[in-house]
Amino acid sequence: MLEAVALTKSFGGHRALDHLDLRVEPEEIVCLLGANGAGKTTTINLFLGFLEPTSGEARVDGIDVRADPVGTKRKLLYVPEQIALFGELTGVENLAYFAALSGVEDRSKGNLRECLRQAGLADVAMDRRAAGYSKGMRQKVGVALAIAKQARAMLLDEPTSGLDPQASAEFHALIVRQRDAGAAILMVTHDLFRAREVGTRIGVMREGRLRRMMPAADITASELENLYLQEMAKAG
Amino acid sequence: MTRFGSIIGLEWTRTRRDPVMFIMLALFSLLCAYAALAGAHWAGQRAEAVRQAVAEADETMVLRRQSFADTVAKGEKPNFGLIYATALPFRAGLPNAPLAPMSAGQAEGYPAAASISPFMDPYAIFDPHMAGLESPAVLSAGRFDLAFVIVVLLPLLLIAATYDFWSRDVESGSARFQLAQPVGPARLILTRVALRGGTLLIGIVVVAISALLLTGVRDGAGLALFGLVVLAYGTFWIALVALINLVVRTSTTSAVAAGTAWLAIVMLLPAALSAYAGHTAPRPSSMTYTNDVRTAGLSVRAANAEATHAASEAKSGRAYPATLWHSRRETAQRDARLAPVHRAHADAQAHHRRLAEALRFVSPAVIAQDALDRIAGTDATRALAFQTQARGFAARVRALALNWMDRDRLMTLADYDGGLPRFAFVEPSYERSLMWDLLALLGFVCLLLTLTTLRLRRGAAALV
Repeated sequence: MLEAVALTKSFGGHRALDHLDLRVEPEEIVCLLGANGAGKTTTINLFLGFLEPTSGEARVDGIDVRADPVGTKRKLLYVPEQIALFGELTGVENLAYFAALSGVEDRSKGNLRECLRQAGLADVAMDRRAAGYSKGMRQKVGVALAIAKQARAMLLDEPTSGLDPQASAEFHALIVRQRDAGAAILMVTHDLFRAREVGTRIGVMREGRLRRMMPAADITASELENLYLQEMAKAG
Repeated sequence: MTRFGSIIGLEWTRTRRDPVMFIMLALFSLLCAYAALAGAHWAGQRAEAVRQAVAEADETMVLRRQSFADTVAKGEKPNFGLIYATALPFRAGLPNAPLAPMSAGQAEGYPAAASISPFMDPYAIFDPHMAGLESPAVLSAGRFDLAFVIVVLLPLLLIAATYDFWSRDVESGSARFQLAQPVGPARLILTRVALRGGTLLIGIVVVAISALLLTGVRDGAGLALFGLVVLAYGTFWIALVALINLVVRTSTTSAVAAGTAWLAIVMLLPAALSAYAGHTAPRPSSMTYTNDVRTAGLSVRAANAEATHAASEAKSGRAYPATLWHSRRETAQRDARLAPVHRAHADAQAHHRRLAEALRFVSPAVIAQDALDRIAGTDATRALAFQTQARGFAARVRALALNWMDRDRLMTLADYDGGLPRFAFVEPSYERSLMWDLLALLGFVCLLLTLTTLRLRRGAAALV
């Protein structure tokens, strides 16, 4: 569903991403770990079409993002570290806005409320203005959009950074539910524990290259931590 | 509802819930109302001054006729002032245009009334009409009229309402989330700015027209043109702010850039253009002109001193005395002597004006002011048309008097009753100049939209 083929991005003389080859299949969560500047967010930006690759291709459902940037976004949902909603609009109205942007056909209030409910947002919060939402509530609106959109692929860029443990656990439960519904999910995170817990496969990136890729089931939490630290120690 | 219909609806909900928009619109409404009332007061004073000048002449003519009639009734001969056509006094007045309360424009720099008699120098017939320029506040800042509100304050209002419409989203990360959805950036961004800016702009036009209606303006065509100019000028500012939003990354930078643009376009550029026009084609000195005219007049009089004296003692043997025949000759000599002085002054003035008119196309603020002045009838073109028409009327009055002299015919009561010529101002057409102003404003808008489109074509990466 999500595929990077020798994907490379350079900024001037600096190679932010170096020949990344990666596939994320439906019903799979691939977690990318790595220090800041490893190339994780660059990868997400290339899948979103926010950056032009220097070489290689980013494909969504077999389509090159460069060839059809709007069409590929129809199949994607992006959840950034901070979902910035419009403070003047309520949760339902925000979802209606982004659902309209996404081309969701059923934008009835009933359907949108149901999506928010499935994403775990309390009924009482749905009609409150988003200016007063916590980060966890805003992330839930993002997931509700994935539900409304029936996104076949999700790009998550450190989605639980800054969330309290309970909100983080709730969010990951939602992600797992989306995976089980058939979504292909690429998640960039610093949370090794959660990556091992929800990931199908885990990749470690360093200096623009994917150094390791392993099934999450084959590794314990402490082994993952050791591996990660070993990779980071190699950083120049 | 269609997809973009929903987006527009929700953007409208956002706009509606933003109290700042409504506070600004309320403040703007108050400013418009005050400016319109101040403009109406100014226009009223000016109309009254012109009305009084013309009424005074009418009254004089009625008194002359009455005196003539009384004298004839007594079987006496009317005195020379009543029977010589060369002694007839006339007045010409420039009436206000229907939308005069909207802009004082350049009206105060030009005369609005003229006193005409047959042997007067046709360039010296105008009243030095400077009413209202006595206030130091007016002298330093110009009049607080609707044109001032539109040209100077409207951009600030639009900037305040839209300066961060996209840069704030870039700052907060919302821009990334929006453009991660399957939507063309150009369509989304242009729809949003058009809705936010357009809503406010339409509100402004409605408020400004209502303010003019409040002062009694009922000229539908003029109001429609006024609305068009405000829309075009406002669209220019919205397009400029949109472009700034797409170039800068933070709302603070956007505010500073938009404020700088306002300062440059509304304040600095007009001042620079004026300085350039003054330097390249200097305005002729009024004092030098007055002195030259006076000197030429005195020299003609001095050269004719002996002849004047001789005429006062001579008998003409005709209905008009020798002194009037002498005055007629002296007037012709004076006019011939003054012609090159007047021509040089008029040429220098016209040169300066042509340059200033051409330079107005450099600044949208000057274009808008020019367009509003034309609609209000307070532009230089209309004032100069009055001068030309008043001089034409003076020539007509002189021709009439000379004709009576040539026919050796004195005035009778029937001449008073038969209708002496009256000045009637013929409105010059301003539509062509206004069309150029509107086209120039639209040209600026097109330029900005082209730059915006080029920016948008660089793709989402440049916009998040």
